[in-house]
Amino acid sequence: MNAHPPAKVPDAVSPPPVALAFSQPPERMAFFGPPPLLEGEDSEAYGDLLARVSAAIRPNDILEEIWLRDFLDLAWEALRWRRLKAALVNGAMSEGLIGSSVERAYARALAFRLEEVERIDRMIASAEARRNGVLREIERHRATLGQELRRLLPQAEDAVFEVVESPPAAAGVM
Amino acid sequence: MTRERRQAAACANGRAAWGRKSAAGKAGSARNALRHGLSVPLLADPATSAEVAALAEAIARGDATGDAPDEAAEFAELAQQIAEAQLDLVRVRRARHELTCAALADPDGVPDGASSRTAGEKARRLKRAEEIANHKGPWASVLGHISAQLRKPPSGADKLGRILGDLAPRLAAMDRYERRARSRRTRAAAAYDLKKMYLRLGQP
Repeated sequence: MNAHPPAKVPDAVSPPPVALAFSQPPERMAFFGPPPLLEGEDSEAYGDLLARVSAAIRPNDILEEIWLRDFLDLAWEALRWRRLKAALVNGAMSEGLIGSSVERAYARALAFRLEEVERIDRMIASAEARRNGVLREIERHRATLGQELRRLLPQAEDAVFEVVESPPAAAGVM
Repeated sequence: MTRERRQAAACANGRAAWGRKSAAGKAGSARNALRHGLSVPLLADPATSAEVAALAEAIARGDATGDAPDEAAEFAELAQQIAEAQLDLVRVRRARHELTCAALADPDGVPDGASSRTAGEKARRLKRAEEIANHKGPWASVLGHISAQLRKPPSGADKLGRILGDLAPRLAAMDRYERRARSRRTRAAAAYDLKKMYLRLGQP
Protein backbone atom coordinates (compact mmCIF):
# COMPACT_ATOMS: atom_id res chain seq x y z
CA MET A 1 0.00 0.00 0.00
CA ASN A 2 1.28 3.42 -0.89
CA ALA A 3 0.67 5.04 2.46
CA HIS A 4 1.01 8.71 3.29
CA PRO A 5 3.47 9.18 6.12
CA PRO A 6 2.65 11.38 9.08
CA ALA A 7 3.51 14.89 7.94
CA LYS A 8 6.30 15.64 10.38
CA VAL A 9 7.61 14.86 13.80
CA PRO A 10 5.26 16.37 16.39
CA ASP A 11 6.22 19.67 17.89
CA ALA A 12 4.64 21.18 20.98
CA VAL A 13 4.46 24.63 19.40
CA SER A 14 2.62 23.54 16.26
CA PRO A 15 -1.00 24.63 15.85
CA PRO A 16 -3.74 22.17 16.83
CA PRO A 17 -5.04 19.81 14.12
CA VAL A 18 -7.72 21.14 11.81
CA ALA A 19 -11.20 19.65 11.61
CA LEU A 20 -11.11 16.14 10.20
CA ALA A 21 -13.09 14.88 7.25
CA PHE A 22 -13.44 11.15 7.90
CA SER A 23 -15.24 8.69 5.78
CA GLN A 24 -16.41 6.86 8.91
CA PRO A 25 -19.75 8.13 10.27
CA PRO A 26 -19.26 10.51 13.22
CA GLU A 27 -21.85 8.71 15.38
CA ARG A 28 -19.58 5.68 15.34
CA MET A 29 -16.50 7.56 16.51
CA ALA A 30 -17.23 6.55 20.12
CA PHE A 31 -16.83 2.91 19.06
CA PHE A 32 -13.47 3.49 17.42
CA GLY A 33 -11.98 6.24 19.57
CA PRO A 34 -10.54 9.56 18.44
CA PRO A 35 -7.88 9.58 15.71
CA PRO A 36 -4.49 9.15 17.35
CA LEU A 37 -2.97 12.37 16.05
CA LEU A 38 -0.27 14.14 18.00
CA GLU A 39 0.29 17.87 17.77
CA GLY A 40 1.70 18.82 14.41
CA GLU A 41 0.61 15.65 12.64
CA ASP A 42 -1.21 16.09 9.36
CA SER A 43 -4.89 15.31 9.86
CA GLU A 44 -5.51 15.49 6.11
CA ALA A 45 -2.90 12.80 5.50
CA TYR A 46 -4.61 10.67 8.15
CA GLY A 47 -8.01 11.21 6.48
CA ASP A 48 -6.51 10.38 3.11
CA LEU A 49 -4.94 7.20 4.45
CA LEU A 50 -8.30 6.25 6.00
CA ALA A 51 -9.99 6.68 2.62
CA ARG A 52 -7.33 4.56 0.90
CA VAL A 53 -7.47 1.79 3.50
CA SER A 54 -11.30 1.83 3.38
CA ALA A 55 -11.17 1.49 -0.42
CA ALA A 56 -8.70 -1.41 -0.15
CA ILE A 57 -10.43 -3.35 2.65
CA ARG A 58 -14.04 -2.42 1.80
CA PRO A 59 -15.56 -3.31 5.17
CA ASN A 60 -18.71 -5.44 5.00
CA ASP A 61 -19.92 -5.05 8.58
CA ILE A 62 -19.19 -3.14 11.76
CA LEU A 63 -16.60 -5.69 12.92
CA GLU A 64 -14.60 -5.07 9.77
CA GLU A 65 -14.96 -1.32 10.32
CA ILE A 66 -13.47 -1.75 13.79
CA TRP A 67 -10.54 -3.75 12.42
CA LEU A 68 -10.06 -1.21 9.65
CA ARG A 69 -9.58 1.58 12.18
CA ASP A 70 -7.22 -0.63 14.17
CA PHE A 71 -5.18 -1.33 11.07
CA LEU A 72 -5.07 2.34 10.14
CA ASP A 73 -4.07 3.56 13.59
CA LEU A 74 -1.35 0.94 13.95
CA ALA A 75 0.02 1.67 10.48
CA TRP A 76 0.05 5.37 11.36
CA GLU A 77 1.82 4.65 14.64
CA ALA A 78 4.51 2.58 12.92
CA LEU A 79 5.06 5.35 10.37
CA ARG A 80 5.32 7.92 13.15
CA TRP A 81 7.98 5.93 15.01
CA ARG A 82 9.94 5.36 11.80
CA ARG A 83 9.99 9.09 11.12
CA LEU A 84 10.95 9.85 14.71
CA LYS A 85 13.86 7.42 14.52
CA ALA A 86 15.07 8.98 11.27
CA ALA A 87 14.73 12.50 12.73
CA LEU A 88 16.69 11.60 15.86
CA VAL A 89 19.53 9.95 13.96
CA ASN A 90 19.63 12.73 11.36
CA GLY A 91 19.72 15.36 14.10
CA ALA A 92 22.60 13.64 15.86
CA MET A 93 24.37 13.11 12.51
CA SER A 94 24.18 16.77 11.53
CA GLU A 95 25.97 17.68 14.77
CA GLY A 96 28.85 15.26 14.13
CA LEU A 97 29.16 15.50 10.35
CA ILE A 98 31.72 18.31 10.22
CA GLY A 99 35.14 16.90 9.28
CA SER A 100 33.90 13.35 9.23
CA SER A 101 32.62 10.82 6.70
CA VAL A 102 28.91 10.08 6.50
CA GLU A 103 29.41 6.49 7.72
CA ARG A 104 31.42 7.63 10.69
CA ALA A 105 28.90 10.36 11.53
CA TYR A 106 26.08 7.80 11.24
CA ALA A 107 27.90 5.39 13.54
CA ARG A 108 28.49 8.15 16.08
CA ALA A 109 24.88 9.32 15.83
CA LEU A 110 23.61 5.77 16.30
CA ALA A 111 25.88 5.24 19.29
CA PHE A 112 24.77 8.56 20.77
CA ARG A 113 21.10 7.74 20.31
CA LEU A 114 21.34 3.97 20.71
CA GLU A 115 19.03 3.66 23.69
CA GLU A 116 16.29 5.75 22.05
CA VAL A 117 16.72 4.02 18.70
CA GLU A 118 16.40 0.59 20.31
CA ARG A 119 13.28 1.67 22.16
CA ILE A 120 11.74 3.07 18.99
CA ASP A 121 12.66 -0.12 17.08
CA ARG A 122 10.76 -2.14 19.67
CA MET A 123 7.76 0.18 19.33
CA ILE A 124 7.83 -0.15 15.53
CA ALA A 125 8.01 -3.95 15.78
CA SER A 126 5.14 -3.99 18.27
CA ALA A 127 2.92 -1.73 16.14
CA GLU A 128 3.63 -3.74 13.00
CA ALA A 129 2.97 -7.06 14.74
CA ARG A 130 -0.37 -5.77 16.03
CA ARG A 131 -1.20 -4.34 12.58
CA ASN A 132 -0.52 -7.72 10.97
CA GLY A 133 -2.63 -9.38 13.67
CA VAL A 134 -5.55 -7.17 12.65
CA LEU A 135 -5.18 -8.28 9.05
CA ARG A 136 -5.23 -11.92 10.19
CA GLU A 137 -8.45 -11.18 12.10
CA ILE A 138 -10.10 -9.78 8.98
CA GLU A 139 -8.92 -12.79 6.96
CA ARG A 140 -10.21 -15.19 9.60
CA HIS A 141 -13.56 -13.39 9.73
CA ARG A 142 -13.94 -13.46 5.96
CA ALA A 143 -12.72 -17.04 5.68
CA THR A 144 -15.31 -18.19 8.24
CA LEU A 145 -18.08 -16.48 6.33
CA GLY A 146 -16.59 -17.65 3.03
CA GLN A 147 -16.51 -21.22 4.32
CA GLU A 148 -20.14 -20.84 5.27
CA LEU A 149 -21.00 -19.63 1.78
CA ARG A 150 -19.06 -22.49 0.16
CA ARG A 151 -20.93 -25.02 2.24
CA LEU A 152 -24.26 -23.35 1.59
CA LEU A 153 -23.70 -23.29 -2.15
CA PRO A 154 -24.59 -26.97 -2.88
CA GLN A 155 -27.77 -26.61 -0.80
CA ALA A 156 -28.67 -23.46 -2.70
CA GLU A 157 -27.99 -25.23 -6.00
CA ASP A 158 -30.15 -28.17 -4.89
CA ALA A 159 -32.95 -25.77 -4.09
CA VAL A 160 -32.73 -23.93 -7.39
CA PHE A 161 -32.08 -26.81 -9.75
CA GLU A 162 -34.63 -29.56 -9.11
CA VAL A 163 -33.91 -33.02 -10.47
CA VAL A 164 -36.28 -33.69 -13.34
CA GLU A 165 -37.26 -37.32 -13.71
CA SER A 166 -37.02 -38.63 -17.23
CA PRO A 167 -40.39 -39.92 -18.57
CA PRO A 168 -40.64 -43.73 -18.13
CA ALA A 169 -40.75 -46.14 -21.08
CA ALA A 170 -40.16 -43.48 -23.61
CA ALA A 171 -38.17 -45.96 -25.66
CA GLY A 172 -40.06 -47.68 -28.43
CA VAL A 173 -42.43 -44.86 -29.03
CA MET A 174 -41.57 -43.45 -32.38
CA MET B 1 11.29 -30.21 58.61
CA THR B 2 8.11 -31.56 57.11
CA ARG B 3 7.13 -30.83 53.57
CA GLU B 4 4.18 -28.65 54.65
CA ARG B 5 6.32 -26.53 56.96
CA ARG B 6 8.92 -26.14 54.25
CA GLN B 7 6.24 -25.00 51.79
CA ALA B 8 4.76 -22.59 54.33
CA ALA B 9 8.20 -21.11 55.04
CA ALA B 10 8.89 -20.73 51.32
CA CYS B 11 5.56 -18.95 50.84
CA ALA B 12 6.23 -16.61 53.77
CA ASN B 13 9.72 -15.83 52.48
CA GLY B 14 8.34 -15.20 49.03
CA ARG B 15 5.73 -12.80 50.34
CA ALA B 16 8.35 -10.95 52.38
CA ALA B 17 10.76 -10.65 49.46
CA TRP B 18 8.42 -8.93 47.00
CA GLY B 19 6.81 -5.53 46.89
CA ARG B 20 7.25 -2.38 48.85
CA LYS B 21 7.75 -2.58 52.60
CA SER B 22 7.03 0.82 54.09
CA ALA B 23 3.50 2.11 54.67
CA ALA B 24 4.12 4.98 52.25
CA GLY B 25 5.44 2.58 49.62
CA LYS B 26 2.45 0.28 50.00
CA ALA B 27 0.10 3.26 49.75
CA GLY B 28 1.90 4.34 46.57
CA SER B 29 1.60 0.88 45.04
CA ALA B 30 -2.09 0.81 45.87
CA ARG B 31 -2.54 4.02 43.89
CA ASN B 32 -0.74 2.75 40.77
CA ALA B 33 -3.81 1.46 39.01
CA LEU B 34 -5.80 4.58 39.96
CA ARG B 35 -3.44 6.80 37.98
CA HIS B 36 -4.92 5.71 34.69
CA GLY B 37 -8.14 4.08 35.96
CA LEU B 38 -7.81 1.21 33.49
CA SER B 39 -8.47 -1.48 36.06
CA VAL B 40 -11.95 -0.11 36.81
CA PRO B 41 -14.59 -2.28 35.09
CA LEU B 42 -15.89 -0.63 31.95
CA LEU B 43 -19.55 -1.09 32.87
CA ALA B 44 -19.10 0.82 36.13
CA ASP B 45 -19.50 4.03 34.12
CA PRO B 46 -23.13 4.56 32.99
CA ALA B 47 -22.09 6.56 29.90
CA THR B 48 -19.73 3.81 28.77
CA SER B 49 -22.38 1.17 29.52
CA ALA B 50 -24.68 2.92 27.06
CA GLU B 51 -21.91 2.92 24.44
CA VAL B 52 -21.30 -0.80 25.02
CA ALA B 53 -25.00 -1.50 24.58
CA ALA B 54 -25.16 0.59 21.40
CA LEU B 55 -22.12 -1.14 19.88
CA ALA B 56 -23.39 -4.60 20.87
CA GLU B 57 -26.70 -3.78 19.22
CA ALA B 58 -24.93 -2.61 16.06
CA ILE B 59 -22.84 -5.82 15.93
CA ALA B 60 -25.76 -8.18 16.46
CA ARG B 61 -28.14 -6.30 14.16
CA GLY B 62 -29.49 -8.75 11.62
CA ASP B 63 -28.26 -11.81 13.54
CA ALA B 64 -30.14 -11.49 16.82
CA THR B 65 -33.68 -11.55 15.49
CA GLY B 66 -36.88 -12.19 17.37
CA ASP B 67 -37.66 -15.32 15.29
CA ALA B 68 -35.46 -17.48 17.52
CA PRO B 69 -35.21 -15.93 21.00
CA ASP B 70 -32.57 -18.38 22.26
CA GLU B 71 -30.32 -17.74 19.30
CA ALA B 72 -30.90 -14.00 19.63
CA ALA B 73 -29.85 -14.10 23.28
CA GLU B 74 -26.66 -15.99 22.43
CA PHE B 75 -25.75 -13.52 19.68
CA ALA B 76 -26.51 -10.60 21.99
CA GLU B 77 -24.27 -12.08 24.68
CA LEU B 78 -21.35 -12.60 22.29
CA ALA B 79 -21.86 -9.15 20.76
CA GLN B 80 -21.78 -7.68 24.27
CA GLN B 81 -18.40 -9.38 24.90
CA ILE B 82 -16.97 -7.96 21.66
CA ALA B 83 -18.32 -4.49 22.46
CA GLU B 84 -16.89 -4.50 25.99
CA ALA B 85 -13.46 -5.56 24.76
CA GLN B 86 -13.50 -3.00 21.94
CA LEU B 87 -14.43 -0.09 24.20
CA ASP B 88 -11.85 -1.25 26.74
CA LEU B 89 -9.31 -1.08 23.95
CA VAL B 90 -10.48 2.43 23.04
CA ARG B 91 -10.17 3.46 26.69
CA VAL B 92 -6.56 2.22 26.93
CA ARG B 93 -5.60 3.91 23.67
CA ARG B 94 -7.22 7.17 24.74
CA ALA B 95 -5.36 7.10 28.07
CA ARG B 96 -2.03 6.48 26.33
CA HIS B 97 -2.71 9.20 23.78
CA GLU B 98 -3.67 11.73 26.46
CA LEU B 99 -0.56 10.91 28.48
CA THR B 100 1.70 11.51 25.47
CA CYS B 101 -0.18 14.68 24.44
CA ALA B 102 0.04 16.09 27.99
CA ALA B 103 3.78 15.51 28.01
CA LEU B 104 4.15 17.12 24.58
CA ALA B 105 2.16 20.15 25.71
CA ASP B 106 4.34 20.59 28.82
CA PRO B 107 7.37 22.87 28.22
CA ASP B 108 9.64 20.38 30.01
CA GLY B 109 8.05 17.38 28.36
CA VAL B 110 6.59 15.83 31.48
CA PRO B 111 2.94 14.89 32.10
CA ASP B 112 0.78 15.03 35.24
CA GLY B 113 1.90 18.47 36.41
CA ALA B 114 5.33 17.18 37.47
CA SER B 115 6.92 20.03 35.53
CA SER B 116 8.07 22.12 38.48
CA ARG B 117 9.79 19.16 40.17
CA THR B 118 11.57 18.21 36.96
CA ALA B 119 12.56 21.80 36.27
CA GLY B 120 14.03 22.14 39.79
CA GLU B 121 16.03 18.94 39.43
CA LYS B 122 17.30 20.03 36.02
CA ALA B 123 18.37 23.42 37.38
CA ARG B 124 20.34 21.77 40.18
CA ARG B 125 22.14 19.48 37.71
CA LEU B 126 22.92 22.39 35.43
CA LYS B 127 24.35 24.44 38.26
CA ARG B 128 26.59 21.55 39.32
CA ALA B 129 27.77 20.94 35.73
CA GLU B 130 28.60 24.62 35.26
CA GLU B 131 30.50 24.73 38.54
CA ILE B 132 32.68 21.83 37.38
CA ALA B 133 33.07 23.34 33.89
CA ASN B 134 34.27 26.63 35.40
CA HIS B 135 37.22 24.85 37.06
CA LYS B 136 38.82 24.46 33.59
CA GLY B 137 39.61 20.82 34.20
CA PRO B 138 40.06 18.18 31.45
CA TRP B 139 36.27 17.75 31.03
CA ALA B 140 35.46 21.45 31.07
CA SER B 141 34.67 21.71 27.35
CA VAL B 142 32.52 18.56 27.38
CA LEU B 143 30.61 19.74 30.44
CA GLY B 144 30.18 23.17 28.89
CA HIS B 145 28.69 21.53 25.80
CA ILE B 146 26.37 19.36 27.92
CA SER B 147 25.16 22.33 29.95
CA ALA B 148 24.53 24.30 26.75
CA GLN B 149 22.49 21.35 25.43
CA LEU B 150 20.52 21.14 28.66
CA ARG B 151 19.72 24.85 28.52
CA LYS B 152 18.06 24.42 25.15
CA PRO B 153 14.31 23.78 25.58
CA PRO B 154 13.43 20.32 24.18
CA SER B 155 11.44 20.39 20.97
CA GLY B 156 10.43 18.25 18.01
CA ALA B 157 11.97 14.81 17.69
CA ASP B 158 14.28 15.31 20.69
CA LYS B 159 11.34 16.09 22.92
CA LEU B 160 9.22 13.15 21.78
CA GLY B 161 12.22 10.81 22.05
CA ARG B 162 12.86 11.97 25.58
CA ILE B 163 9.18 11.70 26.52
CA LEU B 164 9.03 8.11 25.26
CA GLY B 165 12.00 7.28 27.46
CA ASP B 166 10.48 8.94 30.52
CA LEU B 167 7.08 7.38 30.00
CA ALA B 168 8.36 3.92 29.01
CA PRO B 169 7.25 2.08 32.19
CA ARG B 170 3.77 3.62 32.11
CA LEU B 171 3.35 3.01 28.40
CA ALA B 172 4.44 -0.60 28.91
CA ALA B 173 1.79 -1.03 31.62
CA MET B 174 -0.83 0.34 29.24
CA ASP B 175 0.38 -2.03 26.52
CA ARG B 176 -0.40 -4.93 28.84
CA TYR B 177 -3.97 -3.69 29.29
CA GLU B 178 -4.27 -3.28 25.53
CA ARG B 179 -3.00 -6.83 24.85
CA ARG B 180 -5.56 -8.29 27.23
CA ALA B 181 -8.44 -6.30 25.71
CA ARG B 182 -7.33 -7.19 22.19
CA SER B 183 -7.14 -10.88 22.97
CA ARG B 184 -10.61 -10.81 24.58
CA ARG B 185 -11.99 -9.12 21.47
CA THR B 186 -10.35 -11.67 19.16
CA ARG B 187 -11.78 -14.61 21.10
CA ALA B 188 -15.26 -13.09 21.26
CA ALA B 189 -15.28 -12.21 17.54
CA ALA B 190 -14.13 -15.72 16.58
CA ALA B 191 -16.89 -17.24 18.76
CA TYR B 192 -19.44 -14.90 17.20
CA ASP B 193 -18.43 -15.85 13.65
CA LEU B 194 -18.52 -19.56 14.44
CA LYS B 195 -21.94 -19.22 15.99
CA LYS B 196 -23.14 -17.40 12.89
CA MET B 197 -21.69 -20.04 10.59
CA TYR B 198 -23.20 -22.99 12.48
CA LEU B 199 -26.56 -21.27 12.71
CA ARG B 200 -26.69 -20.70 8.97
CA LEU B 201 -25.66 -24.30 8.37
CA GLY B 202 -28.42 -25.46 10.65
CA GLN B 203 -26.08 -27.07 13.18
CA PRO B 204 -26.06 -26.49 16.94
